[in-house]
Amino acid sequence: MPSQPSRRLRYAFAGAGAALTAIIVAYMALDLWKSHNDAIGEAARNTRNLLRVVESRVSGVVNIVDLTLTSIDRSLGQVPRRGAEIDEFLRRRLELVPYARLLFTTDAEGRIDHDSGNFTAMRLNVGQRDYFRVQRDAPVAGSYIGAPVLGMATHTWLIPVSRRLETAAGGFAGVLVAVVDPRHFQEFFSSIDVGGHGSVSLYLRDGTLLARGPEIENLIGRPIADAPLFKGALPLAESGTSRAESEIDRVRRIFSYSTFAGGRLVALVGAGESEVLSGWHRQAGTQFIVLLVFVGTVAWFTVLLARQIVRQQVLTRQLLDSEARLAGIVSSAMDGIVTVDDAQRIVEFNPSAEQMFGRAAAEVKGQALDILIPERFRAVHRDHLRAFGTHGTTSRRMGALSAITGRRANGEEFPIEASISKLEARGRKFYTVILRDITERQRAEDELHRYLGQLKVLHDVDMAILAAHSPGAIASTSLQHLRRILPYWGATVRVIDDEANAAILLAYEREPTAAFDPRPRRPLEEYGAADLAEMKQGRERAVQDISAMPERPVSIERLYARGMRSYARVPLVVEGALVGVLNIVSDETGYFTADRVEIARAVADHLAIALQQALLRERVERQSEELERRVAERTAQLEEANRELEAFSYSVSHDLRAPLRHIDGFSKLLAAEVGNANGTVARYLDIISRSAARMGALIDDLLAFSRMSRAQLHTARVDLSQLVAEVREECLRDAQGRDIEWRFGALPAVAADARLLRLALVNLIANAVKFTSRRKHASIEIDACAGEGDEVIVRIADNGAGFDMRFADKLFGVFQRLHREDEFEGTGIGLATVRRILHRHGGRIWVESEPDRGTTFYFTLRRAVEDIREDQGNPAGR
Amino acid sequence: MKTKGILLVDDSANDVELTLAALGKHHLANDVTVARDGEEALDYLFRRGRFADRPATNPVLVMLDLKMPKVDGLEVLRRVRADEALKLIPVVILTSSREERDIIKSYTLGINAYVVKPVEFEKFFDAVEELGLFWMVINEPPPAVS
Repeated sequence: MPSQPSRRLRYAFAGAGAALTAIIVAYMALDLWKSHNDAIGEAARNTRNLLRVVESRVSGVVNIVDLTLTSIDRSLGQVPRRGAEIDEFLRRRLELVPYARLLFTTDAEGRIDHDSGNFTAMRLNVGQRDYFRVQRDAPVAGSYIGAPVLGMATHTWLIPVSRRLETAAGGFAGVLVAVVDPRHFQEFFSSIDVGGHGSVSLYLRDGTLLARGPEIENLIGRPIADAPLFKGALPLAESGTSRAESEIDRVRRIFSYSTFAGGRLVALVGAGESEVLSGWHRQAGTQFIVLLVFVGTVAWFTVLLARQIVRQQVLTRQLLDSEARLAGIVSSAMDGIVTVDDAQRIVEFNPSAEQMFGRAAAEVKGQALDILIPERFRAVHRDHLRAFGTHGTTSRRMGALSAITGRRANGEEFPIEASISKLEARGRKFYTVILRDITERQRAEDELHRYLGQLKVLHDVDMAILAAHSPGAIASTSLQHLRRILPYWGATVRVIDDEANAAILLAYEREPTAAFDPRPRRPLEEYGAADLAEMKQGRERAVQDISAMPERPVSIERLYARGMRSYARVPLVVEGALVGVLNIVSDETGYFTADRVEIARAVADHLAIALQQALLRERVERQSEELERRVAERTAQLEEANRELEAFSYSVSHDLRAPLRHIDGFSKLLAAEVGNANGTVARYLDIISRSAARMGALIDDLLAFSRMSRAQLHTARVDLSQLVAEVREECLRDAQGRDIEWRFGALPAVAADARLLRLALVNLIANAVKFTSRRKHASIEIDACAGEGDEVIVRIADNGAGFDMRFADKLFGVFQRLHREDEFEGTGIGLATVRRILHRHGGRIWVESEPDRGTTFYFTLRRAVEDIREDQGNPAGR
Repeated sequence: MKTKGILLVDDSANDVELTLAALGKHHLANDVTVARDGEEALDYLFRRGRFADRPATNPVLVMLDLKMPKVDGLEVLRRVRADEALKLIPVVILTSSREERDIIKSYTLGINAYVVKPVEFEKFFDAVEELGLFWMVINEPPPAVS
């Protein structure tokens, strides 16, 4: 957006352009006006000249007619003639006047009495004619040109020129009239070239048209007395030039007029204004176009010029701004900026440079650059700069960054990073050097290098710690690495053993020649309560000069004697607990600067954590070993118990059964021996037998039950519906002839040990068969539904004897029975076995029952894995 | 051929008597030699000790109890199966043990049958009777290895 000044400048340009245009327009207008006037003036002159010709010709005709009439009048008076003689005379005279058509005379009454033609006989009377009345009543001297009349015989317009005839006494005797044909004038007028729109005309003074060229029909005799010519111009001047619109044909003309023939006639010559001005119009048109072109050009150039100037102005301003900014940058730059000319004298010296070199700009300007450089580098630097000037390219910015050395006013030398660029201005070379004092940076870099070194050692310590396994190894490795950055005379790592109330030496390192020999164990009380508190707070202590200690503890005194002069003690504290202490001793006084203590601190921090973890690990390992030992012990005990149990089971199985068999066998043999014994003996023998059999069954069930717990589980996919069908067949063998209605729902495949599951089902189904034995119509239902996740809930319901739910908790115990032996036989182990089998499968079993109504068992199993997948693939299934 | 007989190995005198009673029913008892423990059985089979003079013919069947003093049934079985001359002798375990462990071990060592002595006399009687009949009458014994 242009600023205020540039806008003003534009207005100025526009004004100047407009003024120039106005002057030119004015000049051209003046020129046009003049040429217009010239054209008009020339036309006026032409018409005046023509008018003079016209006037002289018409005057000539009028004079001849007048002379003719005068001579006729005189002749008639002098020579008396009669009748035809006069007619003949008139005829002869008429031949002398070619303009006239007729000559006649009238008597005092107006009757034509003689004529050059043969009208007399027609007895025409002109007594009413205007000219007759003028000659009779108010005679004029000489001939009188009358208003045109329509010829009575010819019926054409004629101009009557009359003369009064008087009697000898001077009375009115009639008129002599020469009838002039206006066509004579018309022909003459038409022969005059006045242009297409020009005209020549002749009027009576009263405005009656006598003739006109070019000829216009029916105009002769028409009065135009109202025209401006007659109303305006003629009353003022008898002759003149004027411009007006014609009353006759409405054409604007420039015309000249004059009155003659004794004020009786007016001649007029006009030139068509359009014709007169046509040249001027052309000129004006041309000039207008020229003007337009000129004005356009001027405007265009004005705009261009204005724009250019505005641009120039903006550029100038930008340049100034830029210069100001640059000056601002230079003066506020953090870097020192020094410009030298090709003689290597200082031209510019910014505030930063002043500060850097400790010299004022005023002081150094004009001086050689050398004063900023230590003497030993001056020659080299001069050559370098010269070489740069010669070989360097002309680019503004080709700075090569290089480190050089500068010299302050106080002689101090300092490192500089400099970039140099060359500039050529008006044939002179300038070099701009940008300087940065890198003292601080170098120090920071050195610091960083040192710090990185420390970090590396710390990292090495960490790696070593990671690689080491025991606290001793960790401590020893840390001390070794610490020596690389902190060469000490000797160092120890002690671990605080609260139980032993001592700091136990974990590791120590020393200079090969040092007589440093720390004690393996240092009682805590030796530190003193104050020192211990300080250590627990994690504060390190550095003693720079042991010889200056007012009172040396025994332990320090011992090492002092061996060469120790200073020491640093860094407690190893982790999460507020004092784990141990790192001691570093030196044989130099003042060895432990803040930096060195800092390094020791850093190593100690890492060491502390690692040490604590190693100690913890050691403890955990110890505990886990203890645990393993106990587990092994317990396992051995359990195995022993198991073996004993197995041996017991085996004995029961084998040895307990044999006597039973013998009891039964020999009682049978006895029965056979006794033969047909009487009733009592036989019954006793029978009881013995049955008791033995029952004992055998008990033993079998008990063994099976105990086996359940120990047998390995062989889980596989088991088709529950098939298994149930098989078990049912088996159970039905003991229920021949009974009316049992079986109802099976869909039963899924389950993941189970087939043999154990079969045993469980046998128990449950046999139970159902057994407890419905008193029912005339028994009903047993077996079905399953989905439980949580892959759980299957199987239901076995009967309409058997049932039981009181108060005793439900006893149902699954070993040897627990809810019915008397003589009601339903059984060992009371079956359901205990069932429950154990289901538990071993990770399942549950529960029961709902009501006396005399029946019992329903529910138990859960896991669905077979493949079936779970199938179900997931087909959620609508089952 | 039947004179080759049965070797009954059982430490229980009662069981022996009951077994013999059962076998006696079909007059099979006369061909039964009884060994009262494993060692005696081995003596018989290998014709050692008091059986050193017995004819060199193998029994058509060994009825073997498992749990016996000194040398137990499984040991006897192992020896029999390890011996070229004896390994084809049919061996039936006749025991009170229903232990799975025993059954598996016995079959692993190559028994021909495993019979649990039923507690009820009738069943025991039937079992022994059937065993005797099957092995001595119905079964064709392996040819003698010379």
